[in-house]
Amino acid sequence: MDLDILVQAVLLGLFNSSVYALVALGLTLIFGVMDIADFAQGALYMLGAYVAFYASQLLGLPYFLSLGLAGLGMAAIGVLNYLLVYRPLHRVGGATTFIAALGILLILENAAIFRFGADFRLLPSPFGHAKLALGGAVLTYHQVFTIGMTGLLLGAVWLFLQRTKMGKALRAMSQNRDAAALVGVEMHKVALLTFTLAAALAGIAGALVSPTRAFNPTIGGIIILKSFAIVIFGGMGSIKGALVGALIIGLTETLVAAFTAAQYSDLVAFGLMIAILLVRPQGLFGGGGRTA
Amino acid sequence: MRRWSAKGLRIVLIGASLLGALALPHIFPTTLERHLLVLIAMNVALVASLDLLIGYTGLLSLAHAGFWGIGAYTSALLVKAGFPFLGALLLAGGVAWACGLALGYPALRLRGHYFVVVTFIAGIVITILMNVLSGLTRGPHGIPGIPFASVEIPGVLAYTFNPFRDKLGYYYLVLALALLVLWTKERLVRSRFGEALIAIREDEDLAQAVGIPTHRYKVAVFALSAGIAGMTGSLFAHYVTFISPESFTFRESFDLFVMNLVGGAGSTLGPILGPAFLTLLNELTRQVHPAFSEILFGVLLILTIAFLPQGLVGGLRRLRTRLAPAVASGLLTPERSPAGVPNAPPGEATPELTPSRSDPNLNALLSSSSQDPPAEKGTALLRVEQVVKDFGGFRAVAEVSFDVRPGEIVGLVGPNGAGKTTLFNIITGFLRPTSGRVLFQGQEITRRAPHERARLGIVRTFQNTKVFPRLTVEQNVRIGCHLHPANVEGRTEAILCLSGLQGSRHKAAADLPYGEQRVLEIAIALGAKPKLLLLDEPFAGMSPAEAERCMTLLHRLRELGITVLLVDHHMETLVRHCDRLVVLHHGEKLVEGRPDEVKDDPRVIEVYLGRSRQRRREREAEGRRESTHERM
Repeated sequence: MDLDILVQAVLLGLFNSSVYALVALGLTLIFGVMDIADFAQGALYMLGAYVAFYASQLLGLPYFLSLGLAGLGMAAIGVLNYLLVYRPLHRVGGATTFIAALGILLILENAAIFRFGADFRLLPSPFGHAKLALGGAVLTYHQVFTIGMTGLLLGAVWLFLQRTKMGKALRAMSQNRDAAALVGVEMHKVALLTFTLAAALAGIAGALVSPTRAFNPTIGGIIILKSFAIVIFGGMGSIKGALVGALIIGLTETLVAAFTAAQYSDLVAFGLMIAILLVRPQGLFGGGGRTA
Repeated sequence: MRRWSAKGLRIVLIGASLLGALALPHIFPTTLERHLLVLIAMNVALVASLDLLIGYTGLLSLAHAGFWGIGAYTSALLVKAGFPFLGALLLAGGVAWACGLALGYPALRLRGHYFVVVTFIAGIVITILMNVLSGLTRGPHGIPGIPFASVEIPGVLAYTFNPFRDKLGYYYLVLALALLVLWTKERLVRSRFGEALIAIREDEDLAQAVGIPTHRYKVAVFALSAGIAGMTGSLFAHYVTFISPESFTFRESFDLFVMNLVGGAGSTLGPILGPAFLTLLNELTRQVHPAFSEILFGVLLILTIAFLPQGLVGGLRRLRTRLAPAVASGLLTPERSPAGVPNAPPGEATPELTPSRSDPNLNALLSSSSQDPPAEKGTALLRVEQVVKDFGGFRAVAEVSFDVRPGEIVGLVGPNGAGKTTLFNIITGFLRPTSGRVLFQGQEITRRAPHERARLGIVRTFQNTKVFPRLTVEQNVRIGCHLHPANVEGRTEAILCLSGLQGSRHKAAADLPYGEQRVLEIAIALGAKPKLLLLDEPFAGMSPAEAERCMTLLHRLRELGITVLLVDHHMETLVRHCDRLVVLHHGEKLVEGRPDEVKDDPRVIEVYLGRSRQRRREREAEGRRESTHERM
């Protein structure tokens, strides 16, 4: 085994993982609080990339500002999704809501195809093409920046969840909805907050990656599937599970791709996902009792 | 007479629609129009098979296009290798059926969310495999030049369906399959099997409790549906003559799903209306911009879920009700009773079967115990031996043993969180004990599934009332009779009479007042001819009068030879009516004995009166845990 290839795969895997972690975190929060597998988050990731692209290319805004703009814009769409679709549908039950989420994903994806076309785009990175050599392996400055930003964002979310009242309410809600409601947590407020947070994370993730990976309107479907695999892997609703899962799946993918053929990396990820669902549906870090 | 004329009308309608379907390609003779008709017919076959899952069994599947693709690839490859078309068609169905079986068997152990997600991923994995297994499938390049479908019976008939020149012939070929599928579906959902599927859709736990082998039935219908999709795939392959993984993506599954929902799931007309409407809409909007039709599908889906949960069919029915309220039947969701019984209009007399108290047949109708050798007095009907149940580190039931003898009414009593429901779940097979044994009539049943125990004669009700909510009371009781198909009509009547529910027979179970729903639960259980009837807090939420009525019913059941084990936390009710009481506390058996003994036992008084605040808190915590686990 070539050590350089291994180190390179691990570093790329880390970059890979940070993108997954941002999307998967939002997904698992929504699942915990609302019991919805919100695949529409994939569309928000994709739109985040477009917002960053147009903000910096057409409006000439600095890239860092457009990151924030992507977060804000997607938070707005996320909240709209909740108010217009998920909230009214909540009584119908999880499985149907999942289908509705797929519906939103398709609507947004095709609206983007209609508006922006299906061509792949790439945003120039504010760091240019500069690369950082780490031994025999190489990462671009932008990839390093992405990993760093992810670390910051995850830290901020963690602080928010641990230290603030709303954050604690959110965690309480995702652990036991009925009990939280009993002690006076307002479902609606927490849900709004969760969708805002998750959508902002997805939008920022899309914007972060837009200078590294070429994007078109269909990228949302793939990223959300992988993130969902991660959420299942770690246990639906589990925050720790989502982060550990992101790391494991992100690394597995690059390692499988580095040492076999790239086409098998998807197969491995999805195969793992089905296997875990069948054998241990509560995931690695999920508690019992959520199988119904 | 009214029923006959309704039947006559139905035959005329079916005849007219058949003629219409045959005439359509002559009314719309252009190539494009006929092409659309072929697509519609294919989608009808696909959606009708999907409707068996979504509409009738309540299983949302997003893998349908995958099975469709498996059939298409199978048939294309076989015919290319020189296999006759008809054989390939059947094999396409067979391979897809087998794949459905392979996926369904493990996946159908999951419920709700998890099942949908597994089918969703499985559908994607199938397309990935089509790409990756390039030695067989040529990967993304697809399979070009698929031979035309040709039917040859030497000396009798030889016909080649050229899809490019002979759209008419191909339309009739696909129509034949679509009609076959629709016919099969109608037959199926009106059979005993179909009735069981509907029961699963309405409440899977309850279906299991009355003896329906839910997992096996779900796997069977899932594989059947996959097989039909596979056969349709074969016709698709020989129609387009070029297939690639692109044709069978998740998006196709999604579109089929939307067609089913928009048309109306769980109905006869829905799987015809939906595909017809949406295939045309798709074609129209695609010409404006390819992205348009997908946007429209998504929007239609969400609007349908929100505003028209019964789809177009439901909308039409609502319209009819509004236009001609006199004609409208006011029946339940599926237009005819989905259980297959034509609902007699309320005015029509039902067969006079009202059994009087002394009716000797009632025993035979309700209970199977009469067929057994008379049990010796004193031998246990049910024996619970040293049963332990741990949830993680929490011991919900600790080495509990007790017997229930034939003909007794035994009460299992204890404060909330004492482990009563857990023990109930263990006796009925909804939970496996950590250790210990459960014996029924001397036979060990500790590891038997709930439906097998129902077959033996152990039937239960649930703490949070479970009925089949959207079906009528009569249909509810009929489904309860699933295990014993002989004389279902007579038994249904007898049970309705006995439980005093005749007056509500045409009401939807969900519309009954709460107390009557609880009685209906017992009525459903009676259909399974229980020897041992387990009732989980039957009086909870009943008014005193209702509880009294219910208790009278239980005494009646005992006279009929049914043994009753009931759970409650109200000591007083049980003391008055039970022959024996078993008191549970903190998962352990505290006392067992005659009600008068038990009620004066100092330990029982201590538990019931001397609750310290600390203990109550503990109990509440346990109760929560117990109810969480119950949801599993």
